[in-house]
Amino acid sequence: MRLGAGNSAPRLEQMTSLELIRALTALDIPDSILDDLPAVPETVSAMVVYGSRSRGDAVEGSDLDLLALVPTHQPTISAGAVSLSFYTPAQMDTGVGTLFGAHLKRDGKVLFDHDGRLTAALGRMGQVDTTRLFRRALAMSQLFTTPERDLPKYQWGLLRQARYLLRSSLYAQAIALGAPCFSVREIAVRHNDADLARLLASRQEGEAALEDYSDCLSRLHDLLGEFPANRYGSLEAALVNEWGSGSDLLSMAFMALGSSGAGSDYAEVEKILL
Amino acid sequence: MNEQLAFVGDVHGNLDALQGILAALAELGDPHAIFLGDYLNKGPHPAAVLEVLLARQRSGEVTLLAGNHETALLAALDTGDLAPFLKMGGATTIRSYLRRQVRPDVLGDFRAQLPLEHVDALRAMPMVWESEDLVAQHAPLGITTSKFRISAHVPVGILPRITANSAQLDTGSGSQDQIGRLTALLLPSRDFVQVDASGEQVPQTS
Repeated sequence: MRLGAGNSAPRLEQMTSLELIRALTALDIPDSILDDLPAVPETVSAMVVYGSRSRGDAVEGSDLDLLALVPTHQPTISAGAVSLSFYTPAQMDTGVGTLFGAHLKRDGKVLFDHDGRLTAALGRMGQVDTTRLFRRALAMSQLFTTPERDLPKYQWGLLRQARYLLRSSLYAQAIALGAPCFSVREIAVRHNDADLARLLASRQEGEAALEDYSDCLSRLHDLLGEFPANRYGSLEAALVNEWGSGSDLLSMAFMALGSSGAGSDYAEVEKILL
Repeated sequence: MNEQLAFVGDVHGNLDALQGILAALAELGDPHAIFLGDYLNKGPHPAAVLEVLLARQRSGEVTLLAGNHETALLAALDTGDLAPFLKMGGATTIRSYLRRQVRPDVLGDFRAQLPLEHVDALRAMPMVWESEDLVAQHAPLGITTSKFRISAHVPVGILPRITANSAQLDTGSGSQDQIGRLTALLLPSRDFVQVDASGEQVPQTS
């Protein structure tokens, strides 16, 4: 098991890592996943586990999703089956009224919280504004309207983003219908559509299939309506022209570039919290 | 070698900081300055930063080493794959050369606006500068050497990290939070001068 090896305050870092491991062990997270845990930076003041691992409906191969509260922005760490994302208090507050916030509040389990700020932030998340969510998802869907330029380069990233918008829109639909649900398997059962669970799974085997992409877009189209045209004419042009704007479209385009080779040299854009 | 030298860390598109550090060095008698790379991305004026530096290079006042952001730009031009450069924040560099909305074929549009002179200069930038007792390059050297090692690339906070054997000079110029500084290390004295994001010289005591 890897523990923190920072050079300034290794003790504090190790204590936080040990605290984390104890809390995760109590949640029956398998050792095979704990072995992938990255070192926890010493600036982390609180952590929450969310997703299937906190709900208790994880299956073999389910990821461990962790969120850490930090004072300044830093990129997500993906290590094996573990995804550790970092949020500042201000970023947490942009989660108010979003699915992300509701999801965290409902299913998240706080692992430790040194100053109570994470617990307080979770308490503020409130109800999901589904009208706003559909409006934002529709605006982001313009990124799917220039396939001749983008699919040859960014099929994998576009599929991932289409899947994210579809999953979020289906959750929002369930909320709007008065029956909230945050599980793709449950959504698939409700829609009596076994293929939907596979289509929506966040971790996918093998190549990005064009049929899956078309399937996602057609389902998304049914939920959101006609996609607005990408006024910039390509994914790359949307990214360059929107750079610095903090817009959803920029974040969406940046995410669609894919995560291969991600490291400390990489720029960061605002997270999309739908 | 008795002649004074200056080594300057990552500029990252901050024209005000570059002009500030050049003014600060002029006050110190304009020592020859070796820039450690990463002129591009992050800050809003990479094209102008490179223009200023290339003019000084032509007159022999400065030596420009390549950083990974320059290497990534050349890789994008050579492979036609813009994604890694865009992920490093290449949008600010592209915008600084275009100064208008980019067209759908981003790489084609960028290529057409990027002066050949800049591309040639980027290609000609050495990775390492070395003298009898000094070795300087963008990223910290992994090898052992008895020479004094000077590098940038790895952010070390707002003050440079200077030890008996090495100096690290990436003090965050061009960073979004505007608290970064641009640092010049002076040799043989091992003093340093700094300017803030707006190009104002930072008093040594802070």
